[in-house]
Amino acid sequence: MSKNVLIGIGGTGSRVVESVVNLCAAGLGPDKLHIFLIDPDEGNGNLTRTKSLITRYTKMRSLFERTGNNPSFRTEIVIPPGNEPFVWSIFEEKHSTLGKYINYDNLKKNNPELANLANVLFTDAELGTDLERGFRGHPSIGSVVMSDPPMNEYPFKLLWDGIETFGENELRVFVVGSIFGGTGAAGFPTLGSLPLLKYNEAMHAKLGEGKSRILLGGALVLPYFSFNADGEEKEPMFVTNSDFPVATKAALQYYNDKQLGFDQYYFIGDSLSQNVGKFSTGSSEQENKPHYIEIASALASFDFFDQPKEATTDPKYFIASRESPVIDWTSFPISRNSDALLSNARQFRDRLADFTIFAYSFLTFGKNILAKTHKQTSDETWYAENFRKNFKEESAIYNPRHQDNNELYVIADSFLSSFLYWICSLDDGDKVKLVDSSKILAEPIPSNKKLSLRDPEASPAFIGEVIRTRSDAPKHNFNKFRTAEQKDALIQSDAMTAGSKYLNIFYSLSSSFNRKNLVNS
Amino acid sequence: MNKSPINYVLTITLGAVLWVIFAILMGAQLSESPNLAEKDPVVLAGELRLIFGIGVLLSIICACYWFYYGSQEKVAGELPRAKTKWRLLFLMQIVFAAALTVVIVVMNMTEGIESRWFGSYFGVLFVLTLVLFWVTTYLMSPRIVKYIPFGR
Repeated sequence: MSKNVLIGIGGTGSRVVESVVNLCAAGLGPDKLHIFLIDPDEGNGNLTRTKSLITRYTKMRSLFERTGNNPSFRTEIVIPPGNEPFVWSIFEEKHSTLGKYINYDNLKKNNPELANLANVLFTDAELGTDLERGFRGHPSIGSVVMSDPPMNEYPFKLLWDGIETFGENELRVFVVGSIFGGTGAAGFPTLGSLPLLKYNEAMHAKLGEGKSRILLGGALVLPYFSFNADGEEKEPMFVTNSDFPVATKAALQYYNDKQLGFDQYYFIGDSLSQNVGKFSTGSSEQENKPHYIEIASALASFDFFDQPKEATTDPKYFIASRESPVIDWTSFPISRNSDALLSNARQFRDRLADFTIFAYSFLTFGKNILAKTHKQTSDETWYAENFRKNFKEESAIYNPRHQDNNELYVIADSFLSSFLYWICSLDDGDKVKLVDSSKILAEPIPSNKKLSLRDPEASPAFIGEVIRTRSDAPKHNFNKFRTAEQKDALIQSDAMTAGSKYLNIFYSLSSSFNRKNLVNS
Repeated sequence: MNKSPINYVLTITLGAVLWVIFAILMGAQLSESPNLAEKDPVVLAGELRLIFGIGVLLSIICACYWFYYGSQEKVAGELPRAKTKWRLLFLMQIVFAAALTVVIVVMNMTEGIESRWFGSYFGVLFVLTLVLFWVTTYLMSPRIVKYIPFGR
């Protein structure tokens, strides 16, 4: 029995984890996944978004009882318990600088030779800049301060818990971060150093010469986006798009020369260089639009966790690339297993498509129906088949509007809205053709991210065009959704709450709708 | 039972069976029992078979129209309208039964038939129109409109 641990480093790492969580919600992840993040910039908007998403995922998963054929939320995501930190923020005090961390002032007085060495390695700006907002594209700072993480404390404790019970390569650890930024570029090779994770003797990772309980994998995300930098040039140690290639080249050279503990690498990048919004050095303002490369990176982690045990020893090289500038459902490198490539690609599209339609239909039609009374909706066939016969006003098992079901609806509303924001943000209307956000959204996504969704009852034709396909076949409309056959619409379970049943109905109707709508595409 | 063409076939069959029961098997009793001034009971029986047949036919037409209408996907988006439509069709059966009874009355006004017999004819027409329509649509409405008929 293996254990899967995903570590996201820096802004890109947290954005990839966001994709991982959304894909897990759609039913694409492993059975169990331990996650934590590393970022000195605790106020980073990307980090805050991911943290909140994981919290809502775990709550939704605990409240939502799913039927056997509903794969959504199948992955048990484990984060540090209670108030234990989910993020290793590196510095214990606020407004830290590299100078403070290495006691530069003391060194100058007591050990001037070392202080001089520090002067050779770091500029005054690097020694003196406040690192509360991260390493600002300077991995040389990060590699110093991240070299000795507190392994016996959370969140690292999450990784080491139960280490003695694992055999060789059974603890699968996947690290993801950017190669071109600050925190990721510093943390990735630091965590990959031989004694830190792979052969950490103090934590019992090492099994003998050349053997470890840990199978270490990593996704290095190469430059894949550009950003607007208007007016930010005043920031100390400012990073621009043009710095990325130089930083990447230097880093790749380093990985080529240096012996690290990684068993498997995934190098992921893109030349489309899509703009992900306004630049910020960090803090809450650093919140970029989701990007499809983050899905590719998330899929890399799933591929890593999914590999059979016997496949973990021999080094192999896998290369995938897109065939055209257009990204569609077939563009993603899904699996190293060529035999399962087609079926996995189909499953990838189907599950994301089902979850998208589920989220959209519940947040619109589903909520509209709940806002009406039982009597007002009991002519609707799918509703009547599930709730009319045994309806009891005072029972949370038989009445979907019972107040005990409200907690589930509130968390579902919140999580599914985040999911729709994520999947709609991927649609750039030009090169990424996964979903057509204009068929879901009545207005472009506003800055407060509160989505204004189209009402499928008022515009029934749009729902069939949400999932983009290569086929020109005519698409079904919303009436097809609400007229699903009884086998798809009827959820048979006497123990499940009506709230969970209600959500399962919508998932099942969505899935049934997509099977008809996306046939031959 | 609520799929086409089974619901159409069963409705026509049930209508035919009811017509045979009321117009053929009970026809003799319904035409011979009343005291007629001049008309031959055989002629009255023929009239009743025709009127009852028209009643059954109208009811079957309405039920089949309902099946056709209710099997269209677009109806899922207009259930309140479908409900109004079913109620209208239901009320039309009462009108048919009443109107056809009036026709029997007019045709036999000079025969001095006791009014309880006209009541019986109305009762039979009630079964052949309204009850037939309700039973067939209750049991065999397409899934989209399955829960519209009274009693569901």
